[in-house]
Amino acid sequence: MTAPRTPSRAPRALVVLSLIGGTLFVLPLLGLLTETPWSRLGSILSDDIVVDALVLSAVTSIAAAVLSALFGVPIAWVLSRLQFRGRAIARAIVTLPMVLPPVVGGAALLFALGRNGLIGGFLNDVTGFSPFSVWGVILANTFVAMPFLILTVEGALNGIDRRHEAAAQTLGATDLEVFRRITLPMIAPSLKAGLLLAWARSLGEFGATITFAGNLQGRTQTLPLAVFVNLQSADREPALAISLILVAISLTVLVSLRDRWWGAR
Amino acid sequence: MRLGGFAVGGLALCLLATSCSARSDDDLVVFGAASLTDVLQAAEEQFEQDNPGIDVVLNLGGSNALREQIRSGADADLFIPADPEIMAEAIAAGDVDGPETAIARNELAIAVPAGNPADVQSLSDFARPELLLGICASAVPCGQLARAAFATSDIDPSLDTEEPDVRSLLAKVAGGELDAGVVYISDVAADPRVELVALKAWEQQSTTYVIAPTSGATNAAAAKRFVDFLQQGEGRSIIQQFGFGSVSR
Repeated sequence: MTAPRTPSRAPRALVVLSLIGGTLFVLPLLGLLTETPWSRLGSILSDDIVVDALVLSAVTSIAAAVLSALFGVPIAWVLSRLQFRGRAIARAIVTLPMVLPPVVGGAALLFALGRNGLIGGFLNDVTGFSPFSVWGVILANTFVAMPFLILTVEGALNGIDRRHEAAAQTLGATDLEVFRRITLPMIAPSLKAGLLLAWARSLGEFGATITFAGNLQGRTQTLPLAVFVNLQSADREPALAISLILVAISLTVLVSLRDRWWGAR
Repeated sequence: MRLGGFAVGGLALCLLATSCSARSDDDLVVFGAASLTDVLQAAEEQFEQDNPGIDVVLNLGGSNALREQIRSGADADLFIPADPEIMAEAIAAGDVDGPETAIARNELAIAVPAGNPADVQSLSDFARPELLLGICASAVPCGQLARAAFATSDIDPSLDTEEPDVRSLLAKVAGGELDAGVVYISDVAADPRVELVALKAWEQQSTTYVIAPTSGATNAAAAKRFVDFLQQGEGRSIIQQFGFGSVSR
């Protein structure tokens, strides 16, 4: 392709529409910034509620992203490489949480893994698992986040040149070696993108978490839950401060990681 | 392009039709505390039967969240929080027109799943760490009352969740996911899957529901009629049927 990167004359209609659309994203940010109690921000940020939620969200969102990769990459590989009956249905089921309202997902998790759920009683007897715990939060986050990773990685697996894998196989590599030494490096950029998407989705997770894991400061109250609960109270300042943190973290990560991983444009 | 046409056409239709945007003039929009869910639904049915021209529309949720929506200009005619202080603040801020009218009382109670599997007998059982226990978040009145009850009876509760409103707490108890939750006495009556464990007299906390029209109310006549209905009409007996205490007239 020899086309210039920047068109010499941008079509006016596209620019106008993009500006109108852009205000939809900029205005709420401005609204949040004007509501923020800037002068007291320091003391609010060191509030127990804020610190507890920040730590919990960091731990659970990273854990969910890692678990999503651990199980999501194999799922993507199976969906991409194996021919089997019901593959379309399987693909729909593992990406369902992207479309499902998270609160429905949370309720469904409770029906399965709550102590009166399908296997919840057994699980609790054997492992002591309770939804009202950090593990409950991680599980809910992984449930909603993993589909983003699966979709991204499966797309990459379908798109790469299969001749490299075939060549390695003819040279005597086992299937697992091919996957580790050829396939995985080839899809690395997409895997990173999937990890980032899954992590971002976890960080913002609300509905499934509060339905499945409840809301307790220091144990299951992540940043979004802390915002929701405190926005309802007479003292809204912690909620506003946390909202600001969420925006700052998300922007920083999205800007810096995008540039590092895909090259600045 | 065809898809774009659809989108634009749909949007245009939506802007033309009143159903997408504005409410009808006959609507009476009531913002009520989550604990009033069933009683207001029953009251709505009766009131609409008695007043065929009026369509009652309910918005039920945490009292502070509803207060916040009214502050932000939500289209409400009547406000019924579960805490008179929230009402007082809304009147002082000019968002609601006083004076308010008291329509019901409510008390705390412990809800346990049918059969009371964890054998919860009083508020002091909330200190048992092996149980799964919940209250409402401090942001809603039932959470503040529960905290007050623990404080006055000197109990350090071992909690597993603080739910954003009383009905989500009730749902977790009813589903057996929690061993007990501190809710309102009227909530226990509302769900056959839960049983009541009464609080001891010294643990008890109560609240009063007050109602008043918002300053932006567009349907003042219907609003007045609904308040009268709840205070002295048939609504009063519905309120009692649903396990709420009555207030002296």
